[in-house]
Amino acid sequence: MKQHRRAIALLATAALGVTALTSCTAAPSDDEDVTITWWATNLASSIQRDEEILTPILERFTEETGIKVEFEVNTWADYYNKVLGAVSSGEGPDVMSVGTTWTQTLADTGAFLQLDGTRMDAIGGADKFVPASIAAAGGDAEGGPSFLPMVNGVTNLWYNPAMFAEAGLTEPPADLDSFVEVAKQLTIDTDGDGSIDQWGLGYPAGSAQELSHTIFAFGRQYGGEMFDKDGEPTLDADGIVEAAKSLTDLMAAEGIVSTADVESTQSQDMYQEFIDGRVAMIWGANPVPAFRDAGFEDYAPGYIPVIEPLIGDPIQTHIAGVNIGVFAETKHEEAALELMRYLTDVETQADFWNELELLPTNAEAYDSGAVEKTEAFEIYSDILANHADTFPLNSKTGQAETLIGDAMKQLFARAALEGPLSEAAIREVLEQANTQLIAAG
Amino acid sequence: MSTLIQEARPSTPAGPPAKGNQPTRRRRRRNVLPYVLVLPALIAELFIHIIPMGLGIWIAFLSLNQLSIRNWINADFIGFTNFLNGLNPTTAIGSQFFGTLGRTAVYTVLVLGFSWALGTAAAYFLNARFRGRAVLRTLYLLPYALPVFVSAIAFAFMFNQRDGIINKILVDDLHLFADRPFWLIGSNAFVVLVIASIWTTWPFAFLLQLAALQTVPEDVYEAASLDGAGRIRQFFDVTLPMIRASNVVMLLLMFLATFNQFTVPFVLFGPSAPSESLLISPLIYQFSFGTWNFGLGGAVSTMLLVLLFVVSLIYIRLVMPKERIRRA
Repeated sequence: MKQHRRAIALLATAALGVTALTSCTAAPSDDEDVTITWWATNLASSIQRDEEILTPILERFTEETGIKVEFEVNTWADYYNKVLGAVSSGEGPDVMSVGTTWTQTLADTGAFLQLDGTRMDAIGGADKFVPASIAAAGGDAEGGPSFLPMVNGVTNLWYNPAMFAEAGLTEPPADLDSFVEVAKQLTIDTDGDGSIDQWGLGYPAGSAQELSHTIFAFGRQYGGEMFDKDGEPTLDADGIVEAAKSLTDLMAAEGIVSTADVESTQSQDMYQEFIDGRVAMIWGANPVPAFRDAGFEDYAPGYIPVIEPLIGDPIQTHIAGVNIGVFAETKHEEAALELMRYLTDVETQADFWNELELLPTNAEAYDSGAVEKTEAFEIYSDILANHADTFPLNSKTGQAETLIGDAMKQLFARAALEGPLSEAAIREVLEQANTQLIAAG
Repeated sequence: MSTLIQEARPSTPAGPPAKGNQPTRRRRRRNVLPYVLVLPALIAELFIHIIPMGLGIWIAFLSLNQLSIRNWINADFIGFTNFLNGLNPTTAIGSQFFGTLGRTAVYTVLVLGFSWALGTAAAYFLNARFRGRAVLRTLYLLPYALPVFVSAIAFAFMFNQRDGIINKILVDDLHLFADRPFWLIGSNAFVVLVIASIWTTWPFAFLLQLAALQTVPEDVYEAASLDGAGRIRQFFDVTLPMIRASNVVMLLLMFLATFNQFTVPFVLFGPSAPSESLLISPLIYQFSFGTWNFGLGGAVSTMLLVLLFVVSLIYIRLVMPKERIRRA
């Protein structure tokens, strides 16, 4: 009896051990048709909407090539850490979408295939891309880029034409001073209860990410860059300090941005404010899907203002969007490159514009009849061509984005509590961020 | 954790076993079974706790960032550099570390003090028999049953500057302030952090104190009241000494949990907390996942581990042995 019980116990333990082992080593079976995996990112108004848009596009790919694609749409929050997890473990999908600002850092990890001549030919050659787009994806890298641009986006101004008409205005002015004057006329107490309930500009001043992108663009207007010519961090450059002063003053000195906006941690908060009629203008990257979902129609695209006289370059936005790369650990390189080719072909690129309003990176797509050339399309392409620049391509860009964003968030919080900040106070905070960036190694 | 391993380690037999000695072999065979049975748990423990902890300490000595993470085994070994960076108060990182450590200590004292007082007071009053006691007991445990994440989100909504209920009451209804104050930025953020943490922590104290109070026999109180001691006097001279043993353990547990608090500040403030309310665990998160300096994050984690270990050790040496002596 005792013997039996012991034998059963041993067997059970052994069985448990074996199940544990086999579940770890389930090997992929070699089918005739290849299935590759793709980590996509959220681009539509919801993950579900993304899936609805991508499914038919990928079905067409399977029909054409016989390659099946299993895709997963990731939200941006914490996606970078998920990508780093894949980089460190070597366990990841065959193809990955990444943010344009992460390009250089991720390329430097060596975890993505460099697209040399042969691989680039398989995708259709570097010439198929808009030169600025492929350059922003690291196209000039020695040995070929690790990423290709899939779609591009820009941040631009959106205004409420009804509110403009009511205030006797036609459209937002192009220079910052006139912009502030117009925004002041739109900052009003509509119901007469003594407190302002319509603000000229809505800005998510609690979002470190948005702030890092805005300070990049405005810093460039004042001639400030986040890295110097040798690639050393200069988050406390004069131009950046002046830009930070001018941005925080929009809230603290000019009073065209509500101080409550420092508690807004994402751009979507401002889209909602805009839809609810609490702000007359916002700066946003493709809020149209959110407007459509809400059945909101009082919007028109415009340009983010530029300082006058201009000290640096007329930059209004970084070149945003999504880059795609092939994970170096892939066992299906050919199929992965095939997907890269397909995603950047004219037809697919036209779909991305028509469904998501994200700009093509394929040069031919701009002349193709498949792309619906709306007013937004003309404005976005003009901004991309004349008022956008690549977010710095530096190994430390990822850290710089976090640190300068956090610093700006801190500055806006202080501006909301204490009023206009002195340049010295701003410089001190930015200097600290810069020291941390240098120490980040 | 460590006791598990000690228990599981087979005891070596005193001498070499004699060959063909039936009873010894049988005993040995019988001895093997328990170890085989705990083996899966032991392996799981090794992989889930021991190895990651060891790795966490190991990376503190590496120059490990997002560039070297792909091949992290070969990341440069840099000795104590990460620790020195964290400990040098003249650098940006060092001054941030020490400032945060001090703030976390103040935070811990406040949360621990208020939670203990609230929990003990509630337990003491609910230990008496009266109608509706069960309802109140359940109600008081509610914050403990709610996920901390949910409570913290509720606090973030309540303390929102523009639409939060706190400002609605203070400004719109009571007219205590002319302008709506900010609660989640600036120095007020620390106050909100402490309040939200007390809310999530005190039911734990309440629960343990209630259990401890039920072990105090009724007749001790009867004797005390015969001697003329009132409710308050009874509490300090009878109750507290009699529940001391459980108090000692509870305070240690609460101290460790509060000092390591991450969820409440992270949910309230997001990945980058206002500098006035930055605690040590969110700082480690910022080092590791904000600037992807895993080495520095590992070094600060290790220092935190050592610090809490030493404090716990001193606490146990100072407080716990007396209990044992008294009971012996």
